Amino acid sequence: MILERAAEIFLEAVTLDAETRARFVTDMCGNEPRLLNQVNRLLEAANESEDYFLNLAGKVSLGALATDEKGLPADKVIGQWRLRERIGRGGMGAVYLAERADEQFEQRAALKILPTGLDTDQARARFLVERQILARLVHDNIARLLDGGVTGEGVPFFVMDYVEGLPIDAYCVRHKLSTHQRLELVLDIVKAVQYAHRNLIIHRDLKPSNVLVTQSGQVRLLDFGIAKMLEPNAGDADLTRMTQRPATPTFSSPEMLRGEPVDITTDVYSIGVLIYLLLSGKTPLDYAGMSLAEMCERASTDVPPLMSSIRPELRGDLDAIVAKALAKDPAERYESVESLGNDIRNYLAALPVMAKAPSGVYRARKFLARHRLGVAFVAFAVIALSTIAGLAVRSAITAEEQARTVALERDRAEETVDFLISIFDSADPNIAPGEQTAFQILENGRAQIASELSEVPAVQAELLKTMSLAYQSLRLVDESRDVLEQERQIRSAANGEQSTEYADVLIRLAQVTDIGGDYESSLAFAKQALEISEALGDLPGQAAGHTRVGRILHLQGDFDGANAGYRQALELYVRDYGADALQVAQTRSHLGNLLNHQERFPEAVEEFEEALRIRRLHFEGDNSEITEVLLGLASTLKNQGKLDEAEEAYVRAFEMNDRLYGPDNSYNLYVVNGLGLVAQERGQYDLAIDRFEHAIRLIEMHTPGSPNSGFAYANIGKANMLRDRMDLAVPALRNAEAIFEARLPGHWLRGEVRWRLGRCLLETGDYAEAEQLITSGAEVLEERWGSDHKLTRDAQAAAALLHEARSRREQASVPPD
Amino acid sequence: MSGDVGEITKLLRAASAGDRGASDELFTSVFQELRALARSHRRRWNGNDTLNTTALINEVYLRLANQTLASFQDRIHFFATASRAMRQILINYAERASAEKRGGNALRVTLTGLSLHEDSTLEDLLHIDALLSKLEDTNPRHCRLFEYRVFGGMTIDEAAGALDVSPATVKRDWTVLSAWLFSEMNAKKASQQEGSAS
Repeated sequence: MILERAAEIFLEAVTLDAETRARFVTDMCGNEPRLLNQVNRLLEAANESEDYFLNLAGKVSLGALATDEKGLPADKVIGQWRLRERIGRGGMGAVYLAERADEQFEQRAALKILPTGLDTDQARARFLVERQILARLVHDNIARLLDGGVTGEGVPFFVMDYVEGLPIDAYCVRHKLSTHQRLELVLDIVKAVQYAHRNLIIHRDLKPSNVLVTQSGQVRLLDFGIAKMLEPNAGDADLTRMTQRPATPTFSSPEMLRGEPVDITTDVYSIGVLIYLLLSGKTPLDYAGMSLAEMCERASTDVPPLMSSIRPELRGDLDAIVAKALAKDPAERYESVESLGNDIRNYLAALPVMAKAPSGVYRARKFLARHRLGVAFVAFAVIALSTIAGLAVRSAITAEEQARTVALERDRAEETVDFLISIFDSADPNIAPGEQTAFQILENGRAQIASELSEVPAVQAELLKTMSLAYQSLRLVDESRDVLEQERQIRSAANGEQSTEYADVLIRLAQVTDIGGDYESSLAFAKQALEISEALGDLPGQAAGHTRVGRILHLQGDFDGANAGYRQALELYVRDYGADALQVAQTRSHLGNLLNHQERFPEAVEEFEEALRIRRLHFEGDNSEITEVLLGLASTLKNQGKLDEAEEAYVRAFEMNDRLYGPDNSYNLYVVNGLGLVAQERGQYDLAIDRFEHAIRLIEMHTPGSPNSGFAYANIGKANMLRDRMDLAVPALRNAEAIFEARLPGHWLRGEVRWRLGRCLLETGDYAEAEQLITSGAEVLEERWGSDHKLTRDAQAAAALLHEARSRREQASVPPD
Repeated sequence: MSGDVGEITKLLRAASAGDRGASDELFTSVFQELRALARSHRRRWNGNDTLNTTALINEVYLRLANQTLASFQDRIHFFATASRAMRQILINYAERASAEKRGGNALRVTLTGLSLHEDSTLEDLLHIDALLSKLEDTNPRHCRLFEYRVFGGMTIDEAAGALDVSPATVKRDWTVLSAWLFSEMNAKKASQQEGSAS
């Protein structure tokens, strides 16, 4: 080791010229030979040392970096397996051909082992995940896991089927397969991937070298090295977030290239590329020689040429299928590999395909690109198509009948697309295309639906329903309600008032009036719908009615009534749809919110967790239904005093909403308010007020006049009181009181607003108004919560303060004797 | 999407904040990227077999960071990680090459591009690694400094930023450290020559 003193002497000496240096060193080291020796050795080395080391790395050849990680000796025995040659190198492990070492019977296998140079915790965890994934997958078209363990040196390994076969593209070329035969092979891939998805696993690296075809023509899927497990309870970091950036960009979805979160549709995209390659012989997008940034750009914007531009006989349905699978936006792709497979089967059976005919789609897409419309509008068009197409199919019985109906519906869907486009094209010519807002186009469409489709009420009503959803997604509550009223009239005339269709439109009216804060109308609509469903004996309709009624009673503060409503709905849904249905999740989420308000926190948490579990069965990744549950869970945790957990859940919901809807979305209103309450609980009042004010901005931006702003102002008032700013609390509480008076006169929170306002006025000496407010506020709370409740006691404490102040004043006004 | 920072930037920040998992993950990605890039360089080999490790790390940085400008601190942290990864790669290689030379474990791996003049360099590398491992216990900062300068190609100023000490201190440490390591290597070579002479 370096002696401290030697270092000091050396550093000094090294700056001196040779002669002075020798003398200096001798002087400094005196008669300490060890010190002298070390200083001299350092000085001797100093001539070359720096240059030598700085050039060292450059002297090693490129080969050092380019070469494989440390290989294992052949014939090495691991567990029951003897290694033969190395057959591959995945990103996360080396693969060897192996044979049974005990030679009891002949078995060849592929052994994958973590490379020694890479034994970090993360790489190891990732490796074990792959092993776990394989263990979960037992399918004819997926290479099986045979064995696994840890070597004597503690390195994990596992053993899989050794698949002797050709990559699928090479196989198709070698055997000169027809388009039909190639698609049959693709269907086998679909089966395997579908199976993986059902087991909550996304492959994420589907490419020809991972899809082998054996001599007997069987497809085998390999390499789950970067696959992702969708654990319902795994909230931890995604181990593959970096390594998911693939070595083969050609087959990766745009979102994956960009390193964003992916869902099952990323596999849909990869299969789309495979089909494109197998049928046309080319890959859709060429990334040769591009940097990652350029690839991302290209993948996100460049639409690949239609396959028919390479091989004209692929024009039509196959072009459409591949275009749908390769959509840039995951939401525009087939929603599952299963539906992609169905469409391929439709094509093979010469049945109409689900994928929209390119002409209309491309026109619509081009129009949308030209007009830069929002997501809401794309959703509008898609919903219009899918609802109309879906309607009749469900009622058709036989396969033939279904096929005919599909054809019919497709024609109708095409007409609808054309109709939508005619709305676009006939939009007000005085407005430059770029300035055309989604709102204006919807308005335009509404007029046309009324005038041009009057002779086909069913289509008219469906379109109105779709438009109301589009308005809702734009948060245009009044317009949405107007459209639904139109739909109601049409349903009334076409279906009669004793029909499921009529009950359905009432439920949606109840929902939209609830969003707008008109609880009275909402309750009336919901009750009417419930009566109709009961008369018809329609169980899901009844459940929907109970849920709605429960929800409005809940908002109005009638907790027991709400509880009864939700429980009835829950029972009906479970009976009719089973325990894992989305409707059950929805109702449980409502019930959780209610139990939270009823301060039955553990029960509430149970309901939320059950709702989350169900929804995660149905959705992967970001989804508004997930954020909704997170929000309720966060609020419950906050009320339980688990502030860190609550904040974490809020932040997750916030980020998810941001990704889903962009900044300043209305969904984050509740999240921001909740974060404010967490800050307030922690005593961070300034931060809390910032957040409540943020909530008010969002309300004013999206639903001005909604009673929600009453809650936010009440919160601002309370936070200001807590930080002793009565002067600022007064205007906020007055705002809150005015809003409650106008919109929710009977809500218990109004009681709290009133006594707090009174308490503030006490400071300014306005005793008459203070007394009136405090007394009436305390009464409301006592009636709602009983006299022992904390909320009531706070109000009573204010009342006591009032009396004290008043008696002090009375004493002061008694003249001294 | 608002405020979108690259994945690597997130990892860098988590790692700087002491997140062990992020740190491991960062190391793994850098390690793999370095090798992937080296492989692609070799595929378009242009006759120049030596390589500029600093340029390589820079290239990896640009690829991983996707050219989004991370902060100076993020950059420094990245190069520190890359230095460590580069050390690991070179040492793995040297170990393997020397094992093959000894013929001991009958490694059936063909080394490509191993030229004669490299032989002594590889031995030096192994020796340096052993010395650094010893130094790790008593003076880890010196180890990092060596990695940054030698394997990561950092300048004195950059290393100072990464180690959070003044450039003057880094300069002094570097002079002493390199002289000491070099003298240790000289000493070993001298003793080996004596050994083979006797």
